[in-house]
Amino acid sequence: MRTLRLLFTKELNAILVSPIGYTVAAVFLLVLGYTFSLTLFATKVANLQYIFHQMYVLSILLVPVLTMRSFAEERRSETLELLLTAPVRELSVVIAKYAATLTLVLGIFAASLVYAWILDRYGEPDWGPIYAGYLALVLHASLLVAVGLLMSSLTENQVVAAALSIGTFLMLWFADSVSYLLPTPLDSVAINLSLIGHFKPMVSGSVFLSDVGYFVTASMLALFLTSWQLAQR
Amino acid sequence: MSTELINSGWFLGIIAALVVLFAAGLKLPVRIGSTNRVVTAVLVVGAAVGIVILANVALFRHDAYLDLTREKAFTPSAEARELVRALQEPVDVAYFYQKQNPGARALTTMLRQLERQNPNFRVQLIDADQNPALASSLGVRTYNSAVLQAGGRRIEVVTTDDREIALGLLRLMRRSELVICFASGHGEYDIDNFEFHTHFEGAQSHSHDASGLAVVQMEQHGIGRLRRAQTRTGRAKGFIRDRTANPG
Repeated sequence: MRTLRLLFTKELNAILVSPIGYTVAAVFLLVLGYTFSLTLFATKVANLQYIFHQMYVLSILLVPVLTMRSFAEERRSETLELLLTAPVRELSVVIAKYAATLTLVLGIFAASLVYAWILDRYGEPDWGPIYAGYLALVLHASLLVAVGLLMSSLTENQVVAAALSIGTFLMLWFADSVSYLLPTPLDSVAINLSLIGHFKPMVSGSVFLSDVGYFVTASMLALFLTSWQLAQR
Repeated sequence: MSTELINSGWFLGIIAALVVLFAAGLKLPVRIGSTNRVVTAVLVVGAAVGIVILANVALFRHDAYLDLTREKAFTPSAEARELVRALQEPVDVAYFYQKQNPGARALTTMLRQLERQNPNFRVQLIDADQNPALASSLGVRTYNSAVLQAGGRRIEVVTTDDREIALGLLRLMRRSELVICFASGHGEYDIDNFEFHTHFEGAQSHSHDASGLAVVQMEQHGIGRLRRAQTRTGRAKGFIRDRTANPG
C-alpha cells in the first residue's frame, strides 16, 4: 500500500507540474461556464442536465489529452523499463497512474459544483438527478481514464495514443447507431455497448445498477488489459 | 426479501467475481501451453472481453433500479410492471418517440425499465425524426406511437403514458371469444351517433341541467357512449352498421 501511495504521489506531481492539466482544466471550465449561462438564460429551468451532457462530450475530447502521456511518454524516454524492473507490481503502476489522472479529472468536474450551488441559491433544483448526474460523470471519467491508459500503454507516440483513445470513445459513443442493421442478438450487444445509452438515464435521475455495472466492468477490463500487457514485457 | 435487494446482491457478487478472475488472469504465463505469444494474447483478451460481456448480461437480467427524481417521474405504474412480469410469450415493442417531447423521453426510460422486468418484453426505442423510413415501413404516421407485436398480432398505441402501453398489452394478449352485440331495433340512435350528453326532457322545456324539471329522461343516448367506451378500452373489434334497420 505504501508503494502504491508513493507511486500515486509521484504521478500526481508529474501531472500537476505539467501545463497540460491546467490547459485542459481552463478549456473545460470556459466551455462549461459558457454553456451554463446560455442554457440557464434560455431555458430558465433549474437543472444541470445540459451541463452533464456537455461534460460528457468534453471529457471524451479532453481525457485523451491527459492520459496520452502516461505510458507513451515513459516508453519514449525509456523510463518504463526502469519502472517495470523496480520491485513494484505492474498493477500498482497502472493503479497509481489511473488514480492520479482520475483525481485530476474529478478535480476539474468538482469545479462545476458551483453551478449546482447557483441553482440552489436562486431556484429549487431537484437534487436527485444532480446526484445521479455526478455519479454518472464519475463512472464515465473512470472508464475514459482506464481506456485512455490502455491506449497509451500500446504505443510510444503520444499523438497516436490520443487518436486511438478518441477513436475508441467515439466508437463506443455511437455503438448503438448500427443496432438497426444487425440481427438479434447482435443488435442488443451494440445497444448495450453504447456509452451514451448508459449515461443518459442516470443523468435524468434514473439509476439502473446494470448501467453502473457497465462502467465499472469496462473500467476493470481496461485496467486488467493494461496491467497484463505491461506484464508481458 | 425484495427483488431489488436480491439484485443488488447479484451486482456485488458479479463485481467481486470479476475482481477475482482478473487477479487470477494477471498471474497467467506469457505463453499458455505450447501456443505462441500472439495466440496467448488473443486468447486472454478474448476471454477477458467475453467474461465482461457475460457479466453485463447477468447484470442486465438481474437489474435493480432507483428513481431519484422528486416526482418519481421514471417509475412505471404498478399495473404496467405486473402485466410485463406476467408475460408468457415474446412481445416486441417499437416506440417511435419525439425527442423534444419530455413525456415521450420519460416513457422511453420507463420502457427500458419494463424491458428489464421480463426478457419476453423486447423494446426498441426509435427516434422518429432520425428513422422516418423505419416508421413508414411499420405504417407509423404519428409521433410517440408504440407498435406492439406478438404472434402475428399487432396493435398501435399513440401515447406518452405507460398505462396506455399496459392497456395495449392487455388488448394484444387477450384470448377471449368474440361477443357480437346487436344494437338496433330497440329505438336507439344510429351507432355512428356519438351524442351522449346528459339530456333532460321535462314538463316545462328541453334542458341540459336538472333545474326546475320534474321528469328526467335519458333515452337513446347509450349506444354512442357504449361504442366510445368500447373503442377506447380496445374491447370493440368493430362495428357493423345494419343497413336494413330503421334509423332512430
